[in-house]
Amino acid sequence: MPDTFQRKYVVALCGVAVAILGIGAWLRPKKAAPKPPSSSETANLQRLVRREELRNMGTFFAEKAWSFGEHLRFVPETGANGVYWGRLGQVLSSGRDLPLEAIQTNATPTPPPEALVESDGGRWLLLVWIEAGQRQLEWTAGLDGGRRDSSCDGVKYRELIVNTALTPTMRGAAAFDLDGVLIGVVAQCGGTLHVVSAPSFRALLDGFGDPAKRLRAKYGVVAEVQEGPTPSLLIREVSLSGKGYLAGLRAGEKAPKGITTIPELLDSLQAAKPVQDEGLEPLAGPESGQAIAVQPGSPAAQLGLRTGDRLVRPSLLLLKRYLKTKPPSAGGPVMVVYERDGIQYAKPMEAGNAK
Amino acid sequence: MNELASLGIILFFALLAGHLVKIVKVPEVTGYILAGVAVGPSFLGWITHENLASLEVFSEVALGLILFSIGSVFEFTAFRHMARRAVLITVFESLLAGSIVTAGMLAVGQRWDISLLLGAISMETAAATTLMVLRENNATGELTDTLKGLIAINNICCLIGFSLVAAVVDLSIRSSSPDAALGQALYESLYPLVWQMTGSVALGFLIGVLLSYWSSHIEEQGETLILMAGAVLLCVGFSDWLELSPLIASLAVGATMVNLTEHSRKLFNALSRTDPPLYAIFFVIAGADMNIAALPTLGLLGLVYVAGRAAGKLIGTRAGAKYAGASEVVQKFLGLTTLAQAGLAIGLVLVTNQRFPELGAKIATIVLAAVAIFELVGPLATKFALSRSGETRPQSTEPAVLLD
Repeated sequence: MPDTFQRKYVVALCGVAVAILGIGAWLRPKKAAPKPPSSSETANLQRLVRREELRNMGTFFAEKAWSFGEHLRFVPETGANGVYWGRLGQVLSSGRDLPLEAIQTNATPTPPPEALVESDGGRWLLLVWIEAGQRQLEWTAGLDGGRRDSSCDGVKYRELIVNTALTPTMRGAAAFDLDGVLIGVVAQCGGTLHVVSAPSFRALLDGFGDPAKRLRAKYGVVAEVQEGPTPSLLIREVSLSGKGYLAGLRAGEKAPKGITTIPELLDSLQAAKPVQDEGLEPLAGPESGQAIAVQPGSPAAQLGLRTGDRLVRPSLLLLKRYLKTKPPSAGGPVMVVYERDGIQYAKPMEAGNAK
Repeated sequence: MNELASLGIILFFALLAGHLVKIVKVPEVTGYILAGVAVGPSFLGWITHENLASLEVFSEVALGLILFSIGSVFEFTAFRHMARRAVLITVFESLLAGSIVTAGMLAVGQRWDISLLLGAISMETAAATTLMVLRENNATGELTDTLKGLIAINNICCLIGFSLVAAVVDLSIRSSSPDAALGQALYESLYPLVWQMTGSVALGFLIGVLLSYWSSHIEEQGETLILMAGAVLLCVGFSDWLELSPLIASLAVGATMVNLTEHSRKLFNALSRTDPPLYAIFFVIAGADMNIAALPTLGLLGLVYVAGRAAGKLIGTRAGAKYAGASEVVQKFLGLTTLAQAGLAIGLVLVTNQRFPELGAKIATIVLAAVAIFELVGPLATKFALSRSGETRPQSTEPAVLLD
């Protein structure tokens, strides 16, 4: 080394350099975690992914959907889809009146043991259901956009944000992630369909397990227990479009003799269901243009309706009421519009026309 | 195509282009770059973006070697005489180029932070390209010596300028966030500046000492080359790992070595015999990586950048050289030799993208398109200046001795 740079200075400088590197590396600020993409960027990416890959992934999705289909059943009690799941122990379905119903069944459930846990959004999901008319498995792929708080008749639950249109035939459909884990069920609350997140099933079942709520949601009836020497049940409210009205309950009246509690009233209404039959039973199908089954000789059959017809108007509930209590005489005859073999027919239904 | 095949293509095309451009008296560097543009993704696509990514290591090593060579400019006894002049001219041209570009960007309505960052990046002059032209033309003389000093100091100057501007921009972003702690923001903003300067010099110094000590015990040229390659790889690798500047660290290795050992000339000679393939790869990759498709998008902002930088460099060098008392030749031609822009500017664009993602896209579009222009015009201008100043020498059959 040149004389101008004496060895001891070089050694000292090396010490300084090592110290600088050591201290500098130690003082380095910790790197912040990378920023998550913004919601608009995520949405753009999701749209892009959906558009580009849906075509290629169709086969893959179809295979997955068919393998998940073993968890699905068509439930006649609710006229909708139902899903078996190990932890449920029952068939979970969505009724028209109750968002979720757990129905006992004799069929052997397939028992995957996975827990119902909240999953993260931002992933593919498959909605799988049985098309009622054809009794065949249908599916659609969508994106799980996360969760949001929602409520149905005062019962709070978590809802899946999905980018798929929900149609009435999808009531009770199951939402799976691509690993086959049940993440939600399509449930009807009021007139709209939502995908209820799996961990909220229990909340909804419990919420509507309350007899008073169940009575109101399912039968449109609000009742109150009257304490006294002879306890009785007073009917406070009855919805004109509810099943309670069809069963003969009227606001301000007392419940039929012997019924003094809400659970008893519920039981009686449930038992009365087959009795209050006007010969009409809905086949599963869309709310509008609903396919009907007609018992021979029933008032509906006398009106000219046949099994397989699609009732366009009035609604099934209203028609049942008219068949039972006669349409109001004011306003002229009620037109019953139905569709048969693709052609619509209209029949006047005069007051007193049907017996 | 796999990486080895693409490497072969790069070397053959470099050789071919090198011969072709000699016919039209264009610098070899330009030939290499044009060859890269031809085989790269912009045109033939024989070398893909994936190939380029996996060949990145060659670029880093080549740039390390080039900066290592430039570091020899800082030989204490020689640099003492030219330091004042080189520093003055560099400060003049860098600051003027940066100021004009910043002012121009503000004048056309750009945000202050984008304008300042573009100004800082515009200060850079491409070390590798300029050095290759000097080497190809076997240039010697006052202009050449001044240019070598200028390149070394310019790159340091640009890095300091950029780090300062980035710290200010960073600080403004952090202080505007509601949960900002001023002390922490200041620390995180200024740390990269201090760390990159001191840490890189310290690392380069340590590797330089190692190289100097070891080289005095080696006689065989093969071993010398192994030592050199090991030192450069160590320097670039550790710089990346510690987030230091490989550029300053490589400069520091060269500067340390040239001052600590009498064998430095032997080492640089050994290097100059073997490095041409690496440099060819470096420039062809640079050409292939060039985004020619971005040129039409240059627009008004690009024109402001190109014109502002060129004006700053040309006026700044002339004014600086006059002020420093340099000869008429230096005053007249130095500006033309400082036009090339590449390596560090591209590196700074990447840093901008990482640190300020919301500003990165616009800056990248402008700088990368401008680099395509300067990298093609720069070598031609440098060669023209060297020829006109009479500092070019015919190539001897012996390999050129680099930077002695």
